Amino acid sequence: MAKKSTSVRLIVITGLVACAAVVLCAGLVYAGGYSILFAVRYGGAGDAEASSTPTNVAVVPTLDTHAYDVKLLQLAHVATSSPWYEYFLTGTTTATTTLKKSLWPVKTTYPNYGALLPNNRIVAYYGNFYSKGMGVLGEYPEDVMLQKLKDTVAQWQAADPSTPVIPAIDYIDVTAQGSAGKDGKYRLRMPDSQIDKALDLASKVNGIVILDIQVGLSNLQSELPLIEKYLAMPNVHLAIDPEFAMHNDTPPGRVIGTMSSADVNYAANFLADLVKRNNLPPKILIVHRFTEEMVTGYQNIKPLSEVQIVMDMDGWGFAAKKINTYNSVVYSEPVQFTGFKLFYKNDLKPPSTAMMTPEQVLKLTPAPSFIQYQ
Amino acid sequence: MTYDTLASDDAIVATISALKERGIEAEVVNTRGDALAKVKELIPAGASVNNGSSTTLQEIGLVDYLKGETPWVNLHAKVLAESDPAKQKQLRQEAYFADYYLGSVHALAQTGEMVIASNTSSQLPPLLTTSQNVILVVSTQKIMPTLNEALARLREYVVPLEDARMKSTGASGTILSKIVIFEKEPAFMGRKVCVIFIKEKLGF
Repeated sequence: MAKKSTSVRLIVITGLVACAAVVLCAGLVYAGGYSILFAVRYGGAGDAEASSTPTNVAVVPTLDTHAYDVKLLQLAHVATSSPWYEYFLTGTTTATTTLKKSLWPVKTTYPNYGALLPNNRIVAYYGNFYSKGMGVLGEYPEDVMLQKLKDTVAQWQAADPSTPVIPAIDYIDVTAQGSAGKDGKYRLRMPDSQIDKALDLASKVNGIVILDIQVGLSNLQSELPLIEKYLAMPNVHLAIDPEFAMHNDTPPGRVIGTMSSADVNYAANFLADLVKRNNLPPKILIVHRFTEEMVTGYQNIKPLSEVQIVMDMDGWGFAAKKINTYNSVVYSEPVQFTGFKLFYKNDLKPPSTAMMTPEQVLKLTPAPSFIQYQ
Repeated sequence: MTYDTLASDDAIVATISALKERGIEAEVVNTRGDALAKVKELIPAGASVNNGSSTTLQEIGLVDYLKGETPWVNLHAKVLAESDPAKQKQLRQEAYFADYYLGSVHALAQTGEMVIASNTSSQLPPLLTTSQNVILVVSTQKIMPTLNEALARLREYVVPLEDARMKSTGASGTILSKIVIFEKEPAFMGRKVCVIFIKEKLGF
């Protein structure tokens, strides 16, 4: 389904026509394109010995938790002179005044080694290859779309040179539908050939794939196992869209759907299990939202060492409205990381005259780690 | 015993002697540059070559050398350059039969057994049987007193480091799926297996 305004509950149903086109699987072999982009520290079992000392213990690289925390503080625009900065890093402060605790950054579980966030920023192109109305992925010929993505990645890299940018193909693999379908679930699952196409495109830009799920009247418990073979790949991550998670037999598109913390935690634990069973680097789980009701019980959402969670503001409109929505549903309900969606078309609808620039988005607190273009 | 200490000259001599007893040629060079020169010397112009993923080959400069103009037919590069899965599979099968296979080992014993592990097994066919010539470039830090200690080096030292290295590239970590103990190369096979030892810490 197409996306929505941050406040107007008018949702345009964009039905998909099932297509039998077969796209040869050309991208299943992942060529890890980005290098070591996250902070590492050499420690662990070998810490007791100097690195130059011969050892019979593998000194494996581990997450540099200090560098990790410093990056979080940077994203949250916390000044190094702030008592909160010192407190966040050390748990104590020498400030004489009462410390006003900030919502950001969030102190939560550290990820396993190999995590992409926060030391990278992901810039994703979103959509479905069958539809020109669901986002930029399906709107342009492949070569045009990929060049636009490369150009957009370059813009973000220039706007924040300290944070390497990883391109992503954010493919809507399960799309909410205006019609019930054979099993009455108001959603359409895409064929594997289309996911293979997303993988192929991602490999061409050394990027990752995000599989985006609109469950309709189905649920995550039914949908996620069907794409397990893809989610078990190291370069494939997951996004879930509460807007189209419907309840009480209400079809999608009539009201805005919702997911609970239990739903989000189910998805996180599903991914964590795959990470553990397949010895993968941490996964990213993106949760879209633009209203408070779309995600309930944010306090109970639990990031895991195997799964990093991004709350993504995906409403459209003019800049002030988007910023206000970000502040009211993402900043004020902190989970772990944040995302921000930009719409090539809907963000230009009057009274808006321009899309927000990377520089404008980066001024948000916290600066989003995930940027999605529709 | 340590896993990252260069072997003594006595240990190297003993290892080379044990390898020769097992039908495997071996020699030692001092530097990574010497090793690269030796590889170039051993492979005649026009020969087809294939190589496995190896930090040691990377560190001696061979991987970069193979990216440029060489006197050889680089079958591994052809595999990587092909985007069509069916054609790539065909090229991979052809690469198994390259005249020369280049790789390394994860550990070896002074008694001459070489220990090689693989998750996907993709490098095993040419190393074990399908290539007529095999060149293994090995830092002397991988020489262990016994086979048991060579196996321990693999499990306790190599695997954790390889796991982290792979995850640092965004790939899955490693899984210790297969372990090969290369006991000897039978003469009737007509293959030539050569180990080039380097007295430098290379790979892990």
